[in-house]
Amino acid sequence: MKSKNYIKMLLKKEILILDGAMGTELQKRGLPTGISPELWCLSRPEVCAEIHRAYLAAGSQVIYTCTFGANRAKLNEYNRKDVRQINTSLASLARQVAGKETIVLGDIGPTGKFVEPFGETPFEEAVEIFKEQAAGLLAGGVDGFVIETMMDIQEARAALLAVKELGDYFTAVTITLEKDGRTLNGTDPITALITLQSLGADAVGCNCSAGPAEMIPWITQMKPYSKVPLVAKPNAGLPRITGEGHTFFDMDASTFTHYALLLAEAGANLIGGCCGTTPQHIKALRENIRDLPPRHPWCKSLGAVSSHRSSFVFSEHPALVVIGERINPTGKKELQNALKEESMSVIRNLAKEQEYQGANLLDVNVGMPGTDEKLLLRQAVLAVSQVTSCPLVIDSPNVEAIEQALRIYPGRALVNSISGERKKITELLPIVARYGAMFILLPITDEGVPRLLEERISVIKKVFNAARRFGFSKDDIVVDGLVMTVAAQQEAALETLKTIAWCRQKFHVKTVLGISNVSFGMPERKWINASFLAMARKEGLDMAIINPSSSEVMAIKKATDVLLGHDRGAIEYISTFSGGVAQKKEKGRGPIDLEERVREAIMEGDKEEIISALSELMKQGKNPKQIVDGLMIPAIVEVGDRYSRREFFLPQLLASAETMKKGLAYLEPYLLDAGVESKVKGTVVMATVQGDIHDIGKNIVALMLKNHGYQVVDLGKDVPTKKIIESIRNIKPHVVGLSALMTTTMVVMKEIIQTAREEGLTTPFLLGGAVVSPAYARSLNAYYAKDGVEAVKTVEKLIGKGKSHGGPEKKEAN
Amino acid sequence: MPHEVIYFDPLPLEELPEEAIFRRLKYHPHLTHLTPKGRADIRYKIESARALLALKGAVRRVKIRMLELGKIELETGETIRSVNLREFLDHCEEALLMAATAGHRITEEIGRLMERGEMAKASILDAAASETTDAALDWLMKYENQLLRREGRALMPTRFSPGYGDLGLENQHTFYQLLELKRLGLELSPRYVLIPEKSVTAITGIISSHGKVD
Repeated sequence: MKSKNYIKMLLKKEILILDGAMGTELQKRGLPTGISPELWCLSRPEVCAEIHRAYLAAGSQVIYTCTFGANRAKLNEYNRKDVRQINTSLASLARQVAGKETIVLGDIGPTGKFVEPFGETPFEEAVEIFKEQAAGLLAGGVDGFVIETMMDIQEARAALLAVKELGDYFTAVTITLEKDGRTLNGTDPITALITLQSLGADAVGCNCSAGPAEMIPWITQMKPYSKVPLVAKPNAGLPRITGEGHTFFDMDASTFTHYALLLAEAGANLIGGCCGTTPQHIKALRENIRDLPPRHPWCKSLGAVSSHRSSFVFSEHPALVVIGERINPTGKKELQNALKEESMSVIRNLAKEQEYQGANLLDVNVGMPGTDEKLLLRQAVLAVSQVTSCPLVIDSPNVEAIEQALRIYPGRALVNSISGERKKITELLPIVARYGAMFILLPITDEGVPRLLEERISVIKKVFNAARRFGFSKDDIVVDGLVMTVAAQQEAALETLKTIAWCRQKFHVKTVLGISNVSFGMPERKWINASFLAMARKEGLDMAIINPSSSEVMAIKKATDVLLGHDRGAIEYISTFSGGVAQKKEKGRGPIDLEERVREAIMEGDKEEIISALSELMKQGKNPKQIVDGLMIPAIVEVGDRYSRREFFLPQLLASAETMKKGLAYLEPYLLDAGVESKVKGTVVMATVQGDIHDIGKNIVALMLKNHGYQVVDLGKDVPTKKIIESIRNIKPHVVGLSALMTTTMVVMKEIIQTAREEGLTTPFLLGGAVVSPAYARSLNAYYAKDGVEAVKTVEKLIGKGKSHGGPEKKEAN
Repeated sequence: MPHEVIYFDPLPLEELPEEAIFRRLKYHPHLTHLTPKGRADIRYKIESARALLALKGAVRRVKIRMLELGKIELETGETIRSVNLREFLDHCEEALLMAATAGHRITEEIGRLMERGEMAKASILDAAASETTDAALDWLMKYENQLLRREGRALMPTRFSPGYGDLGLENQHTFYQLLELKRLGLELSPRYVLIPEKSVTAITGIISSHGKVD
């Protein structure tokens, strides 16, 4: 067996050539569709051996076992339970062909099912599935593993942990990306690299899904963040479809090699081929790449965290990093109650709100008496991971809870915190190292909180030295400056600032402060918090655990970013605050604009503004009828015209309609007082036909008609024909509006109209809905409107010209 | 042996299809006047739909046999009638049935908003739910293509849904049964409407490798 160090040493000297496709080669040799390639190979080992031999002869230095789908989940589909034995046999076959010199990697592919929190498969079940397969591969004599074609970062993590828990073997992990450069559940190449290399992958890259040309930018993106060699195993171009409806890959060996050279230049260290590639592709690859020097990984260490779909590299963000502090039950009754019931909905909302408010990272702390923190922290991490892109800070004093959270977290986390306490160093530090997380170093000891800088320095150095033994570097650590409340120790704030300055200037590590602790017990805490943050920024503070909904603290963050030169061109600051000033100016307009304000409120759909403007007009004794007829109706008509010209779109049209409705409701008592009778322009009965449950279109039309002075009798959705006919007979409307969204329910319109005519009812029908066309309406001798605006115009024409019976005039055919 | 149904509960679609949602709301990139603040407000409302969506999906591969014009027989014994679909699947021996739903919560919220007269927000959530459900079907097709690629096969690029064209809505019953959609909490009305409203099924063909790989 080739050791991990041997393979790593080889990678320092040369670019390793992998093999090409197995699946498409098996198909050429008769593999039928719809059966397991692994089981087919087991019964025809000579075919599989022939493919391995062809790749070796072409120059592959590494071959993959033919075990891509040989996991329990896949083999179960073929009623095979002997997973371990199948893997051992296929690995032995590859080993036998490869001899002792060539590296054999045990191929582990996806189960095809997504792993929690992105799917139903429990994380530990996924780990066990892969462990079973990996154990079989090891027994067959593989040198290491390749976890490939992963479309779910969490499944890739489960497979990597499974392999690591069996021993220290060389393991490469490759993901498969869609055209948009992300996996199916949204992971980009840099994020995948940061997550997987920190968890212990020895090489990371991409395979399948794309040709070599598409893969170049992905490898290029990854290289600056790589601590490990990169893998590229592209398809022979993109699959094409023939006129007869078959797929094929058509990139020839020389074109493939042309792009593979560019992949090597971009920084790929292991290169091979996936679907559609052949021994000819690998031979050409080997001949052209043999003498190229490898581009080594760029980083020895990398201060970066990740979620499943985004990463945060600290050196790229000189502005203050905001760690949202609100997922913490201390002093929050609603969150406490939710946690007692093990409900995660409050936590999900807090996560989304903080992300929206500008948090870069989210602190997750669910510790409170009387609950199972181990269980809750795991659930909280899963819940938050589903709804946010922000990387997480896992915050707990409970070592076991942190371990569970790190195991399940689908990214690279920041752990809050490891102190100089004995238990933290001996128990927590190895766990954080095993899962590759970063951590916050808290300079306290079993004896308590050191008061002075010199004592804190001693603790910081002690913890850092212990961490170094586990492979941590300064990039992996953030020092907490230890904020104490000034209400108890006024000089403590200055000592904290000194700690920040020392970390920045002498020790060269990043720093963090839990800002709000400084003001505990003080009145008007926001001013102390904001001032303290500004002072700490001057000393070099990198991150703050704060409430991103606090406008004072976030304003100080943005202002100090400008003053310290971290917000280039003050772009962020200007975009945050310039809008506010403009809005305030607008709101400050004088009473002479009142009528214009009513018009604008309708045009802009501002429901608050219209009431304010109308109430002022009423105070001035204006005539309510003139306001309606002279201001509001022309405004809503203009909105309709703009919608027809597509200058407005649906939400704007509806916001205006809602504003109009609210304004009319406000004016109604004034109109009555003024003796203005409510005059209805006409009555329209509306219904979504039987069998159809879609009614938003019908409701929009109803709203528009009401705003234009029509009485609308809305019968609702899924309305039986009989009820519609009865309503026509009883209400005697001027028009009946029918809506249907489906072809099957559209035919009910015909039934209703026929029934009405048979019963002697001549009321005109107005039809609408996604599948209804003008031609269909004409065929039923009915009218058609494509939207609410057109419906109003049609009803106006019908009632205006006194046409309250029958259908549209038929045009004569040319 | 017939393939089993693969369920995605949840279906991990990451991005809401914002462009399609705006398009559904009749937004025109060159004609519609929308201020940056107005756009941010709409985006915020679209984003608020995310919390209400509970996307789920299901896929199942089935072998198919072309019968006379306009009839397709599934390996499970059912027959689908559609001239256009029969023509579309002409070269395929296997098809993929799929379903996606946005779940009950968003439909209920849209109903509540309409009752309160908040039609603008209701229309945005409605468009978000419809387009996201459709995007979930795109996601399911991408997922299946990932698996098929290793077998040298691929899905046809488009799909057919019951209720559109000449594929009658009554076929919804076949989809409902074969995908066992009850497991995803879906119901089928007597008129073949899926409940909750924002649910959709579809079928597409699986094409095989030409073998022209050299």
